[in-house]
Amino acid sequence: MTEGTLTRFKSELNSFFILILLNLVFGALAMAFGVQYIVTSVLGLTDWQSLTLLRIVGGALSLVCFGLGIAWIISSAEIMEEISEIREEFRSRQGPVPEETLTGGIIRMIAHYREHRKTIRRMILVCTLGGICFLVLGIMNSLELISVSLTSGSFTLNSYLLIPSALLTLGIALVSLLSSYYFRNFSNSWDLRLQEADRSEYMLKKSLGIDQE
Amino acid sequence: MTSRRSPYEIYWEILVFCKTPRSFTAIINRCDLNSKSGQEYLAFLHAKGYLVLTKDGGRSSYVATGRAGEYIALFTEMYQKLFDTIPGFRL
Repeated sequence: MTEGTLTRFKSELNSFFILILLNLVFGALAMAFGVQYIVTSVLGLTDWQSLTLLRIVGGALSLVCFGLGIAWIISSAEIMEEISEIREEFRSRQGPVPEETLTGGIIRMIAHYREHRKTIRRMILVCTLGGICFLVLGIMNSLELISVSLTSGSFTLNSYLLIPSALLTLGIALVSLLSSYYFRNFSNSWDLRLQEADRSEYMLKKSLGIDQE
Repeated sequence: MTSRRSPYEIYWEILVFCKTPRSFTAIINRCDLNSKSGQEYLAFLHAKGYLVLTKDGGRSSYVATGRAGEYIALFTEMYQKLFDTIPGFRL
């Protein structure tokens, strides 16, 4: 049983480590793009007449993206530290892993999840919000002019900035939404494991006559 | 660290560490417990017959009994099952 369990444990540890690493990188990118869009919105103003609603909303959204980027990095770093330690412990081991070491690793992961459950839930929210904000920002920065009346509407695309800007922002938005999906998957798996661990402990208590006094 | 682990996980850690005789200080350092909670856990395991206190010269140490082996085996099986029965996370 240990070999299969060990393989699954290590594979899960690696997947989660990669997910957090990706989030750190994209959190930094989100922050950088947030700053870039703020600067672009402000520097693009030549006079008060160029202060359109689109620019104001774009500037505000950039500010939100910047804040979400910071929250994204902080949350990822919080989760990363111990996962990295556990992963290194198993990676550096030569030869077969004793059953007790594996169980010790499982306990550390469960303890880590118990401690960071709120942070992971926050990550799900931050990633979803970040994804939506970047999606809107990407579309807004591709638009040069938008006019809507009761009977018709038109928009002009800024052709010079359209491709690189839209693709980069869309990329961040996509990674952000995917991260949210994967964090939710991770959280669901570990919530089930926590429930099962609680049930196991109840059985331990019953079968071995252990009860906290 | 202590509050992140359940008492049963701490019992397991203490019992596995005490397969060879260990001093009180070594146990609380290894299992990341403070002196007060360490005393409580050890007293509980001692009272239930999972640990015995041995004296070698002037030094006291705790060692796990045969009953502890049953607990360790059952706990290990149950916790490893968490990865066998529940669909895992994959990218």
